[in-house]
Amino acid sequence: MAAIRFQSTEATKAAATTEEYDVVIVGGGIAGSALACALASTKASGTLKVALIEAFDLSNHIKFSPRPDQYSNRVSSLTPKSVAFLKKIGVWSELDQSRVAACEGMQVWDGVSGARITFDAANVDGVQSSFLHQVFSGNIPTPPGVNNNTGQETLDSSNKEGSPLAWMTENLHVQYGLQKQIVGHQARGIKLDVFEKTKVQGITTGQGESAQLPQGDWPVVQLDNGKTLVTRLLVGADGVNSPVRSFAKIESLGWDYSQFGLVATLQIDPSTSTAPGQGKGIAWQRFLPTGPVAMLPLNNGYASLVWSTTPKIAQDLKKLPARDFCALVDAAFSASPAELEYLYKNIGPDGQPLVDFQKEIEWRTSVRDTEASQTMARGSSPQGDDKPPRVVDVQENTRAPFPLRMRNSSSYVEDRVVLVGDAAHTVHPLAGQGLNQGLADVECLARVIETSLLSGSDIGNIHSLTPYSSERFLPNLAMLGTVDKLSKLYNTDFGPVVWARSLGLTAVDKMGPIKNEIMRFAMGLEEPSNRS
Amino acid sequence: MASIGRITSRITRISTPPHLRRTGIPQPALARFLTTTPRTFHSHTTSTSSSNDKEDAIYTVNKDEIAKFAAMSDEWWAPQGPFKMLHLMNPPRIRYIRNRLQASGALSKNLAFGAGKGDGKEEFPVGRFPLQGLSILDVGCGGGLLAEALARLGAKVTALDASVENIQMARIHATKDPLLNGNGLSAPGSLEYRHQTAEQLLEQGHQFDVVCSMEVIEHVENPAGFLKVLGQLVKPEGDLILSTISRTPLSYFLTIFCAEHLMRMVPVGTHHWSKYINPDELHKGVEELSKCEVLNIQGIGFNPLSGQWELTRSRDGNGSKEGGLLGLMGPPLAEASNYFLAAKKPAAAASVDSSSASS
Repeated sequence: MAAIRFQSTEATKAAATTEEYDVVIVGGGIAGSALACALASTKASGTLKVALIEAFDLSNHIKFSPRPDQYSNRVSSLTPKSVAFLKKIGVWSELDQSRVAACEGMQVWDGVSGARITFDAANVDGVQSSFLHQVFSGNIPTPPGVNNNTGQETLDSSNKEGSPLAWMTENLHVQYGLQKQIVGHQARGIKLDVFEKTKVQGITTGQGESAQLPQGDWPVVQLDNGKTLVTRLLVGADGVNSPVRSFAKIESLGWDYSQFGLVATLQIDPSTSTAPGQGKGIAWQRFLPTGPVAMLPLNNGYASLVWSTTPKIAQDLKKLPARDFCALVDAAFSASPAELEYLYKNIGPDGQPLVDFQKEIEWRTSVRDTEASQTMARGSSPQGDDKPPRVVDVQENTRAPFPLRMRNSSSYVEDRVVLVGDAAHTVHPLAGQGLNQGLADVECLARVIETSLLSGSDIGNIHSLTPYSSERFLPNLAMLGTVDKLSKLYNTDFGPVVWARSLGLTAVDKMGPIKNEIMRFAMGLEEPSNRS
Repeated sequence: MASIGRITSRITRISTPPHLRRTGIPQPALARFLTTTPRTFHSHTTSTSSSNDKEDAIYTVNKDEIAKFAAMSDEWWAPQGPFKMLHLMNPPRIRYIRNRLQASGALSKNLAFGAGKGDGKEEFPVGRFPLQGLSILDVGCGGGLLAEALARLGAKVTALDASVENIQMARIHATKDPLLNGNGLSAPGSLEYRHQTAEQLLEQGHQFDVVCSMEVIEHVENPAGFLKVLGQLVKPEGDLILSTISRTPLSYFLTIFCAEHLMRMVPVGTHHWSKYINPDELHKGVEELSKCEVLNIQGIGFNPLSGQWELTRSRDGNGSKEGGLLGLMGPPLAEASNYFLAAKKPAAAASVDSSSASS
């Protein structure tokens, strides 16, 4: 075969075995695995020969059997749109619903001024909107809890079927569902080959004359186990430092935030929360000048912490003893930024606190409560505000910092190459959108591949891939831009900015329709124009 | 109003002198296509001996020639190249063909004959290969854009072009995709290119389940004769699918002024407005000359906002189910430029000579 002839002119593998595929997905994370499942479960795409390459162990995920009192620290919030997609590919039904927590509400407030905005799932307008939406929309899976549109606009503003804002579950749990589906597809004869614990050594493609040979312009992927794969379409689902993106010579533009995100699994005491229902299903997020701190609800008295802060503080937080760490997390949600600064300064170089954090925080809390009860409601903690639950404990070995950055690729598609998920774009975690954008990418790509198959097109041809880019580029850019502006807006304690943003936040909190739109945007219910 | 007389009067028109000035297009490829096609369809006495010799000659062409054709093929097939608009038009064309074949019953008839049903033979999923078992003729295939797509959907495709360069280009390009190389193991489709005219094929006694001719009839010297031949190439109860451009001020504005002169999307001289055919004229021609019953006429337009071609609403009022802005447009505006016509040949038993009874 011409392809093999071309291969053997390459320096290394003399006895390389070349296998031919229709789609090779590099990266077996949630995005890559979800794409494999989506293709396998669609009528025409299910006949494609697909390879999934992952550097780590994938089969391990199926053995996921965690203890009820332990939660992994990588937890994601899944929007209704993402959940609808996971239902469509059969993954949602594989999940253990006791480990999936519904987020029914969100309370977000300014750490400097106390200005607050609350979101409630019950207030989301569940009906899909307007005529324009009808004209431009395509195959959007109906999110659960959204009334199936009969073509009429209604003015009903209640979300009758009660869809939560989002569902929280561990990434490992979602992977469990995905890998189970993959094994199921393989069992029923779908041509889906998984190359796990395998790294990609190199990607090449024919140039000049060799591009004229049969499959000459098909990307060739060399694996570190000696195998060579030649493929019609190469999908980069390989994360933020995507080698596939480098191969396609696509630029990645953006910047690093001078922040690290610290995740942890917390054990909380729901009875200490003043929110209705003991704050069950409520996500709390406070914007501190160093970065936002968020507590996301899990089941059974657990919560997931995502604290974006300076690199030094993040490292210190990791080193603190558990007791002091928990006290500091409580303070993060209640103390003033100045008080927090004091506490940060009193973390020694080895992570040991130089003062008794518990005592300090208890004293300050009592002072605050006395002040609040004696004077009229001030900015920092008005009487009516709900308080998040107190942190009782932090699960061992779950505190992990990771760098935060924003990236967007200059293009999502090239000849025979397409990028999805973090390989295409990376976002600040403050809005919980990263994974959801990745799943939206995958859902769109699977649909585009199916459509081009049914049009008899070569799925790797750039014209077959352009609809994916058209549909996903702008929405991703919009989300990235919005989240980035938010993070910059709240990254300061400069007086005039604080005043302006607090005014804005308080105002928006009172404007139901605008809040509604914000929620629908974040939930993925409001779709931008969708071209067939 | 348009009448059959209008079409037959074209027979007496002399062939258009070849335009040899092109902008940025390799001369041999495009120029030959335009100049040879009219001449070939003009007379029925074109020698047929050349065609078979030329067929063999293709395999003895030397390496340099192959390289030349490969370079031309690249031009033709370059996604952002001079034929970009044609590339963009292909998916809606295919979808239109699939929809029409579905509506006329050609696809379900296909299944009834056991295509895809395992009788010891390999089963090809009909979800992926909806056109399996159908024989399709593409007249005037150019570089093979439509032919390749039909073959990928499982059809047995025969593609004709009067230009040997086009056939060469098409063959070379088809070798690059293993799905088209007719190994027959992984796919039910097949693809065969012939440097022949439609008349020659008819003389050899071939008939096909589906005959397509997209954007060819407006280049042909003798449209009436062309329609007759196409009609005879369709099997009884088979389908005939044509596409062409209306002769309206709008079509002049869009396809000649904008596309050729203003935006240079298409080389100057590609189209001649006087040769465009209106839907009513074509309808009459197909019914009376091709002896087929016209089932559907539907427009297609380029939507600059989405950068895609979109089907408009058809005459029978069926909305274009694909959405898009142009899906809202209905006739007559919808058919004022590019449009499709789908027709079906009656069963052999039906008396076809009483053509005045139809339509």
